[in-house]
Amino acid sequence: MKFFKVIASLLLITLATGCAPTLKEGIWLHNTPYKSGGIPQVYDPSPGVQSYDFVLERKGMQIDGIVIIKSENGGSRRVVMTSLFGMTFLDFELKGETIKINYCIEQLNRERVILLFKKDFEILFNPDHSHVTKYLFNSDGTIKELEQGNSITRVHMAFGDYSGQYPQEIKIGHPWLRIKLHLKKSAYEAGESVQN
Amino acid sequence: MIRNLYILLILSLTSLPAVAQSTSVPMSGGEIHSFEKLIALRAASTSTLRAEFRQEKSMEILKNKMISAGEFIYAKSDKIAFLYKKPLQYSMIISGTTLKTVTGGKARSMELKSNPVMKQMKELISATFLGNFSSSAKSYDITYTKGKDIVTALVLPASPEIKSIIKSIAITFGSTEGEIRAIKISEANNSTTDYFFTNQTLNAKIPDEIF
Repeated sequence: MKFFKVIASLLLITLATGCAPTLKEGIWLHNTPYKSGGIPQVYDPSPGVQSYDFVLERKGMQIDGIVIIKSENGGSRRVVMTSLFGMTFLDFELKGETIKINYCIEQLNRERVILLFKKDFEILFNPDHSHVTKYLFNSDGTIKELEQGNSITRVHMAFGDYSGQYPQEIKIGHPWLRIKLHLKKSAYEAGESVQN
Repeated sequence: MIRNLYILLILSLTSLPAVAQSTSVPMSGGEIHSFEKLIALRAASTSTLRAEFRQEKSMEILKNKMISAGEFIYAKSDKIAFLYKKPLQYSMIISGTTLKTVTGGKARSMELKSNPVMKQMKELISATFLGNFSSSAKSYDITYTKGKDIVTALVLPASPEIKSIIKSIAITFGSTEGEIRAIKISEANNSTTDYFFTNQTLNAKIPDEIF
């Protein structure tokens, strides 16, 4: 009996600490032509504002809203997550690996939550920011999927509905945390009033 | 976490700041009493309310406002629906202590009564739609001002939890009929959201399936 417990424990540990992403057909960054840089981007780096509708899911619960991203000339990006009813949840700036929180409602103000969002958006803005990443590419060379991290930090991203160079739909999943973030280009375009 | 966010969403709807009027002047105690009576009478004679609404969100990050529009429905005594039609089809419906959202035809329900914040939300709903502001006195500081044909109730949350999210809520009423014309929510992060209500219809039949 003890033997089976040990085997079961080992299996669990193996599953939980798998040392690599599991995107089976994926290609490691160092096996792509982009190991020295130049990987296709999934977010338009031009200065300006873009907005996405988001759906955040965790353990069957779901919340909808809008993410507004403003890219500045100096490479920094400001990310604001707001509800469809107008209330702001989270407002932060990313520059390199530095994050500055401008505003966060108390209910969301947990280090692990903030770091999760930070990592997701870092990958979105720089899909090759970690070399421990596997990719699947579309036939036109754009990124179809990527996976980074292992065990509890594993994140999987799928990019679809490409319009030109950039996807209009992005699905981010944290399988171990059972968190999904679905982004879709918003009808609220760049903060303009699209309906009057 | 998400449950709390939902509650805060609803709170943000039920906490309303008024459109600041440069010509507004404070109301006397007698005027406030008369106005609260008007609101209470209106609430007592109102079983349903339908109105079109326009939502305008102003944020530091954006030059322009984010604008959406839809239909607002209230049914006595605890049913509220925001049916967004532009630019997205989206619904948020409160019935008792149940919150239902519908996005892309997909409905999700959530029970909120287990959260203490819900109690404050219910107080705000009552204050807003039943004219029972006095019962909320402990949770909110309310001051009234009057303009040419409007009365503005400025609601300042007293609870630190709510205050950290919402700085103020202003409700603009028509001074004669007591109808809600606008609501303005000023958030702690300096964003504001304005709701403007037009084409209001009282006591029309509301299809049950909405709730």
